[in-house]
Amino acid sequence: MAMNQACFLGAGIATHLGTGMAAQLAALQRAPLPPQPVNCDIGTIHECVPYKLLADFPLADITQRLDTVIDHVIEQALAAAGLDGADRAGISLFIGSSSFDISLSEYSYQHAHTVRNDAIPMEDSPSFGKLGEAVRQRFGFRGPDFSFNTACTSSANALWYASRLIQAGKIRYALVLGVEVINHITALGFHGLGLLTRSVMKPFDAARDGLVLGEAASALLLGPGNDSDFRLLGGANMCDTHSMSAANADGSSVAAVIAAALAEAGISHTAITAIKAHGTASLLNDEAEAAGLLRIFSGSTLPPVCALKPFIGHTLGACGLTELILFWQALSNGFIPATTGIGADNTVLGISLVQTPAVPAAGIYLLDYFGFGGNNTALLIGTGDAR
Amino acid sequence: MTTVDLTTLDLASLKTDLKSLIVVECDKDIEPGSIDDDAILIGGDLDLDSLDALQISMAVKNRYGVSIEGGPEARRALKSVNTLADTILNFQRD
Amino acid sequence: MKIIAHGHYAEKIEDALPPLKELVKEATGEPVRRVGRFIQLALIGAGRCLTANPAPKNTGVYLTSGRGDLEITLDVLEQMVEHGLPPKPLSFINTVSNSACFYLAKHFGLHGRSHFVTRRHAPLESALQLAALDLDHGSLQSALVGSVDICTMPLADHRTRLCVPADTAVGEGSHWFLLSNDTYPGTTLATIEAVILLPDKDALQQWLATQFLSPQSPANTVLACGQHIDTPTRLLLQHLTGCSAWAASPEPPWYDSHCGNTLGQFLQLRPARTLLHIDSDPAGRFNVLQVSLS
Repeated sequence: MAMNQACFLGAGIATHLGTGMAAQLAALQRAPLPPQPVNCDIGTIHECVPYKLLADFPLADITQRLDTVIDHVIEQALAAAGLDGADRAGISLFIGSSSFDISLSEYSYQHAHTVRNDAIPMEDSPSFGKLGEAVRQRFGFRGPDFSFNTACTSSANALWYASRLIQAGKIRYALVLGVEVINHITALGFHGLGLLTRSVMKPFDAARDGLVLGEAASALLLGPGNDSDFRLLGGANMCDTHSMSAANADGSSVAAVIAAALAEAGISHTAITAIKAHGTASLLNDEAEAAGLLRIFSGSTLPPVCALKPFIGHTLGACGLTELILFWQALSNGFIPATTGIGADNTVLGISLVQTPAVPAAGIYLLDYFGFGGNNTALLIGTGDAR
Repeated sequence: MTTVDLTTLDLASLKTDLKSLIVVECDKDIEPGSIDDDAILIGGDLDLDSLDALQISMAVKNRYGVSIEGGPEARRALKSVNTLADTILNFQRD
Repeated sequence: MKIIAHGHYAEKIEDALPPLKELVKEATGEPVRRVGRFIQLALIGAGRCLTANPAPKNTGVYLTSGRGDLEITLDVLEQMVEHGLPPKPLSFINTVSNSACFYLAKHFGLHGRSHFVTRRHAPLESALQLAALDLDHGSLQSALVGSVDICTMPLADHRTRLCVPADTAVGEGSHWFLLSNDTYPGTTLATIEAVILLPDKDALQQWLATQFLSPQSPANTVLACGQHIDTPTRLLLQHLTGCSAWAASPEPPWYDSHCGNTLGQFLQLRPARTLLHIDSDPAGRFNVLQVSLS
């Protein structure tokens, strides 16, 4: 059966590291920096939360900021893919986010509350599909659209389904969008869970002490291309009912989802030549992820493992696509990002992170994602002739 | 934010208060009075987990103005209603 | 893909929100704590669907909703803005939509994939499309697909959020379907023959033309229009399909995933062999669901 191709045709990206690919690639070759304190002021709450905000989109106008950055990354992706206006109507939109436009609902309620006492929250007709509808309208996308809200795996799942709907011949082009911008519920919610650190995130390190939240918007156009183009070669998603907020520390559920992805792709773990870990630098999740990877690679050499959250923070629903784009672009530019001095000691959890930018071997690359509610996703990427 | 004035609260009524707080915050379908003063709260017969622990800590902070920091200190404080009450009263004396 | 079982909860809300704790206990066999109406309704609907037909362990869960757990999100916002209180840990966790998936998977012993997915004017249709892909082109044998929409009080505020007129009857619904791929050997209730999104009226017209060239004549098909279809479009669709119009009766109250109610009633009342459910969106696209009884 001739397979319809879902190649990575063009990407757009904005993170704490900057806007556009060149800025990301340059920053990924330097040491990650600590987060900045951001004031969270709502009601009578004044909390200072460490964050990695978007580099080029100041917090000045909350009402326009989300749309502005989304439009920016989508235009970048479409331009990189060389898709002219006429083709846009056939595009299907896949959004993955944990907060969608809640930042706007918060802002309008907070604002209304200062001018009248009877203000009610979310007067602005909240709906998970609203952001997608607005994006579709602005770009004229008329294909079937999907909004994924599965916490930290949202845009990874969006990409997985987009690729498979193309492969199954249901759609031809998909625009996958991962987006996460600062909002009070997320910032104060994570703060309240005691999961945040004020220093650089240190995944798989003895000194790991929590995560840093990050903002990101990223877009990737999928569609027919050439054998030399990167694409998704396999993936899997499984529900781990061990605990709401952490994967099973024995690694069994992490190993299960990676094994399922390998089975879907029809490849052996020995074909994997580099790994992008989820690496949230929390005590339990890193333990579970390390144990899961060691189970998969027991009896063989663990390929180089990198973690990208020290650079951009945990971008939650956007991390699936954003980290995939960073990893793919770094690989295509000949390096696996290194976190010097972070996760260096493999006696802590049995694995260590890449310490000096390494040259990637040809092959297939694994990406792990784990989210609240036991939602675990593993993706495999590579060129069409990598199999 | 309402903070209870601890100077007017005796140990017995504080414990009664805390039991109600635990039942409400953790959505337990039991009589507050049925919780023993020294019953293990997290991981014991009450079947409360680490999320319940965080929920109780935040409620205690909001109600009594007492912050329970994470780690070993939190584990000590949240061991039972007795230890929780002691933590709150000792915090006040500091 | 085949429908093996279905289960429902639907209530018009007038004065107060009915309590759900006992219904949850009935549906799952045990009390469930730390959950609000959204997760409670998910457990009730799914429980009713699975009572007589337990789902295999590797069943995928596909949850959808127009607005998710509004109750908890509103509460968190009000607590912050009006009372200066940060989100409580358990509330924050439940603002994440797939917390509901966690409870579903845990209570019904499911370990397959779990997703919360939606589309602005067609939540259930979006979830059914993903389940269809997984069943037809993936490794999945069975899927549990459900829509959940809750009400919040006061209802006047709720109607404002839904953007519906002040006299609109509003309600809550939880509609669940256990699905399998076409190789399922057991008894099935119906086949979902199509769940597609057509970009415009021309595409819809072309699709309808291909449908009624088949032996399945319009006489055996009823047309149900979704709640976003206006009167001129409704008349046009009746003309184009030649099918008689059918609607669930009494008319269900307004909530986002109204389509689940219509499909559920069709499976129960069996007014014709085939249901053609069509809904539109403001962009002029059409979401089409075609289901035939076994």
